[in-house]
Amino acid sequence: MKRLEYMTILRQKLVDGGLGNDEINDALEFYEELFLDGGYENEEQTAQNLGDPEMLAKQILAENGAVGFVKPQPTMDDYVDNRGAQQTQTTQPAYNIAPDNRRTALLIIVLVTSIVWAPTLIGLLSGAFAVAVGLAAVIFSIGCVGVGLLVTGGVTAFQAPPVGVLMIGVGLFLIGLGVLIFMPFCKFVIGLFKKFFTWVIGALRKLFNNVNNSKAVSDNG
Amino acid sequence: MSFPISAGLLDSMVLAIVSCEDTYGYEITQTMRKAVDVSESTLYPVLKRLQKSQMLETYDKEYMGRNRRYYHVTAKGAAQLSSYRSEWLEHKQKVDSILLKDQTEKTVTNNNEEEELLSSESIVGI
Repeated sequence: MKRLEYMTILRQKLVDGGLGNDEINDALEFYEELFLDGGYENEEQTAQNLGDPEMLAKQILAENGAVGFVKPQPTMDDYVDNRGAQQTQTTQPAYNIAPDNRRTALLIIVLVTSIVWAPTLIGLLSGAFAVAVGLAAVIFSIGCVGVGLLVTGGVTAFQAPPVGVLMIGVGLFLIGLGVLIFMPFCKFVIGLFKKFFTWVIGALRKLFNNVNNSKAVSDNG
Repeated sequence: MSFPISAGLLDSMVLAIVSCEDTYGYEITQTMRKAVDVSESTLYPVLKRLQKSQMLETYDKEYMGRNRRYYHVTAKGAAQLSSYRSEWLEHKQKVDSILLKDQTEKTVTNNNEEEELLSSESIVGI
């Protein structure tokens, strides 16, 4: 068996065994390295030394289930042979609280608690929106007052020219101020909301992706 | 082989190999296979276990356009190794005192030399 075939089977078995992605990659990197260091022309020999990939996968799974409980002791009774390997396999069920399940659990927690945080979030969002609209209206009204003054000033200019000119001047000033503040402010607020929604959608997508990830990997493998 | 290799013995031998010099998976397996009949697949769990118990740490080094994972013995690992060594010596002497008793009585002078040789070998070979 060549390296590629061996590694493919090994990956598949580890994925089937429900091992976490980090552990799978770690193990595969190690064995890949052995193949590569062993040399291209010796791939068959390396594969033979490693033994059946299915057995190897079982061994890795068993070891991962038992990690933390095995305290290395230099005694002669814990033999590392096939019997030993089969004994440690009995600890496999303990391992089967797979890491993938933690992600699903997280998703469920997020969904369940949404009853509490969703209304709060919506409330806060509406509040922020109202404040933004209010501020925009104030700025807009400054512009409107400017337009009003400009028109009134135009009329007054015929009766009392100095007052009329003053009113036109103030009106123009206010219109300019309104336009200068209003446009960037709107852009800023819209940008802020956009950013927030992209973030929310990104977070949700990440969460869902994580849950589906194991399926995707097994499809690839 | 009539004498199976225990997990502790595997741990101590791997620690000893890495303690000589930081090295990588393939070389560790090759060195081990020179001394004992273990499969490469036995050694990954050993290395993993030693990492988890913080006896070994790893770092990656580039080699021919790919990464090679090097292993390094931590202070904890070094302490554990020296305790493994003394335990092994004690264990070996006890076994020898029974297993080689017959020979000891027959060739006292010869055996002294041999024992010296054996113990020095075990220190190098562990």
